[in-house]
Amino acid sequence: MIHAPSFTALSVVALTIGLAAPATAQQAQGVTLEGSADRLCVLSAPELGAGPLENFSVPTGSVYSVEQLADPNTLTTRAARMTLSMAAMCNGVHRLVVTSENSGLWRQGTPSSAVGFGTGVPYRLNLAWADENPSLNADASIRQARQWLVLVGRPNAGAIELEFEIDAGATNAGTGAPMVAGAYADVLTLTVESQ
Amino acid sequence: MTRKIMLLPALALMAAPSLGHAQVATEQSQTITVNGSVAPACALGAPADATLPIGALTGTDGRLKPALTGAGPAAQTTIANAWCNAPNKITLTSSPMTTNAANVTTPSNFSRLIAFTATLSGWKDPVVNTALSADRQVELASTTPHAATPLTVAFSALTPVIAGAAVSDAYIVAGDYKATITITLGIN
Repeated sequence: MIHAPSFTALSVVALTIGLAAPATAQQAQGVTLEGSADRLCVLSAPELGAGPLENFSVPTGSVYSVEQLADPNTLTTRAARMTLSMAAMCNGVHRLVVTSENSGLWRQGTPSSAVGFGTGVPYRLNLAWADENPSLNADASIRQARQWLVLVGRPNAGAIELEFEIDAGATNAGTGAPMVAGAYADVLTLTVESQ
Repeated sequence: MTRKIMLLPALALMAAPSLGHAQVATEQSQTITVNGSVAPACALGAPADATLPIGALTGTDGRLKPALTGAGPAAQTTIANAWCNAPNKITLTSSPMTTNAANVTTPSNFSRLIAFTATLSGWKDPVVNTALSADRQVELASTTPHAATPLTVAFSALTPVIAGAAVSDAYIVAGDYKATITITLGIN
């Protein structure tokens, strides 16, 4: 008796090739860029500003001279006015520091005790910067260093305007008093500082 | 005298495993079918540098340093492993650098935002993003598999932004600045 051969096919279905590295339908990575802007203030040298120049000589360097401090007839103080402009920038909260060596224009040299005569000239500084407009008085009551602070709660860039004013007859011996002869001076320093 | 002859039938040998049946043959074969599939997938490795510190942003004038504002990279890093074995899409999401400085009134010539150009190269084509305000996405779709050799992420052309526009000469408000860009790679 002869029997027909039979066969069985071997099937291996749906092999998934395994991957060594992790892989998905979507992946994401981030990169962070970091930097810093350090606190900074910049201040340029003063120049004559747009305001009136009254009884002042054209400046040379950083020395500003009153042409005629006292009236030759009354010997009391003549009015004088000038405006200085300084380009400045502070990139954060900052302050202006104004320092006067003498708190007024004081007579140089040997002190004088002439009764009724003035030896000091008061003046006013009118500042304009970043919405701040303080008026600083150097009243020449006592010859001493004095400092004013102006706080500015934001960054600012532009020009600091500083108006220097002497009123007619302003003396430390009373309005209209005659002035002792001599040279009068004060030294002002303006500083901008980050806070 | 009578002789008897016995006739014996031929025996067929069976090759199949059917017991008791065998058939003799010169050769035989069996068919074995093997099949499989590869799923579409992408891989995106971590950048060599997850954070790129570029230090001081401004010079002595309070504006961005010129070296950071040009076309050359201010900072860059690479991703060594990036590939897709099927049609894919790569996306670069970016937004300007922002600051932790206190939110005080800022004059119109100051900026608290620093935009930049982020460039992804090493894929099928470069992907460039210059977001000036909020998150901006730039996509590149590809119909073919690709493997980067490697991916490079570069930052360049930093510029101050005021009211949604680049203002190249603006001062920069003091503070720390940071931006994070995201690279997404996926099957399309």
